[in-house]
Amino acid sequence: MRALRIFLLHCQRIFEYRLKSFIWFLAPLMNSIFLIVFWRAALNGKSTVTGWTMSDMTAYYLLLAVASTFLNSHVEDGVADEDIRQGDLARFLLKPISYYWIKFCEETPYRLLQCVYGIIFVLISTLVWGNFLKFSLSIENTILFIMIVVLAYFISFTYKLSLGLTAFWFKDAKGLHSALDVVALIFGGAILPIQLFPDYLQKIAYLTPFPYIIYYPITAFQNKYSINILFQIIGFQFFWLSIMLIFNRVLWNKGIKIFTAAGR
Amino acid sequence: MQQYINIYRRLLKINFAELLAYRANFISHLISSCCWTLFQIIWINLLTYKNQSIFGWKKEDLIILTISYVILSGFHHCFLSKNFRELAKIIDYGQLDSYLVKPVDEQFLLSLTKVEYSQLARFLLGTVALIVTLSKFQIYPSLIQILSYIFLMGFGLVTIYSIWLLLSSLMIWYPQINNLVGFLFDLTGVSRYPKEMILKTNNYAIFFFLPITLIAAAPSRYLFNKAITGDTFLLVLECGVLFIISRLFWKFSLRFYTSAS
Repeated sequence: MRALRIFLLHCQRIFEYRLKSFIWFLAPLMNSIFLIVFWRAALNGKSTVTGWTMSDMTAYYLLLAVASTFLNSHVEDGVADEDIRQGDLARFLLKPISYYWIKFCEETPYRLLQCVYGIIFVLISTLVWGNFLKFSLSIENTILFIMIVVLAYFISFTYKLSLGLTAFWFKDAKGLHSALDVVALIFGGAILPIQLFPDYLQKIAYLTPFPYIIYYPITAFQNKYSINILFQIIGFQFFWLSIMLIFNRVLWNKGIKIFTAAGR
Repeated sequence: MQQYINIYRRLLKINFAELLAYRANFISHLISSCCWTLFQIIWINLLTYKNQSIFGWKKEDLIILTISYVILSGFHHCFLSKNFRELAKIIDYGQLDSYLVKPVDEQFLLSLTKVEYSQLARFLLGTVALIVTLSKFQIYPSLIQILSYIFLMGFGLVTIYSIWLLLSSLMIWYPQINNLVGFLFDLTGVSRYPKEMILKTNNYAIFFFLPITLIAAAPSRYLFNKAITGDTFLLVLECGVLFIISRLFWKFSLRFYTSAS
């Protein structure tokens, strides 16, 4: 109940910064639009590339714009800069809710607002580019898809929070963050669907947690998997989430011991 | 003019001293810029993995185009972009007053005060990648071609600067959109695509981006010997026009600066 109240308070807060939030949404959207235009021109005359039709590609990149704003948490900079480096973390330590859930309640409303922008855009673009996005999921597949989305968000949030917690040890972890961002973008399917990667890169990508954050939720929505495969994806998502949570706990327990906050 | 050269020389020294004072920070930013350079090279290789020729551009042409964008962005991030990130803060916190009362052109100070030397890694890695790509695909440009390429890259850089200044001026009216600079990075990224791609879409909303696609494409064409006089002329023209418009718009926007944070 307390967490819900905090969540609702943050929901009110995000509406103060609607325009700013919209600009954050524009960046991945523009990248997706240009990738669609690229593939439209590249596939001129050919209908498919490795089983992907142009309609699939258009849907993939538009859903990518929505998924990368909705499912990609950006909690790490706030945790590292404001909470750990500037010492704001001290005020959270005495609160009766864990730091993990406080940050979750802070971050989630921003992601939901971005998701709303995304849905509005997808609806508009359906009018512009035609009916490329067909919702053909059965009830069972829809339920499993929702589970995949929720788990994807938790993996992303826990991973980014852990990344932020590395600030307990590093003064400036921009290099580390950039390296991991690059890996996440490539193996998360932000450039093109993983199925279109060279074989060796596909094998590497499937061994990382990144496809489970963006790629699988998108392709699950596109109805590319049978129920068995969807269960497998959920199983792997639970596996990665457990690893992330353990890693997060270890970082928190070790980091909090060396944290100091000074003030008057 | 000499006064401005002297000031800039001093600014370069101050920024270098800052680099020496915060060495860990420098190394961290250096790793970051190397990672993003690598990303751009992987990006184009993945996109062209299944496509050997697109819009009349061969795979190697598109790789050279992306590398040219990397080199340009190296210069841009080194000498200009950090200043725009600072500009967002300066306007948001109402600190622009101190720049406006100085006996130096405020646009000069706001655009060139900060230098991020770590970003030169993009330029260096890009140049190495360009040389490797040219020799891999057996493209041997003449000295005139190389000089034309460098000359036009200069125009490309000024064009990027002008677009950034033009759009950043909007922050005078809307200081709360200080994340606009983040969007500008992605906007500049459009220059990785050839203009033929935009022309093929027949979508008027996307035609708006056409000038950006000339920034890296026009110089790149000189390297693989496909220079089109029209593109060169258009880039020089748009560079001049955008520079003047951005300057006028910046001056106009300052009239609305209220100094409150």
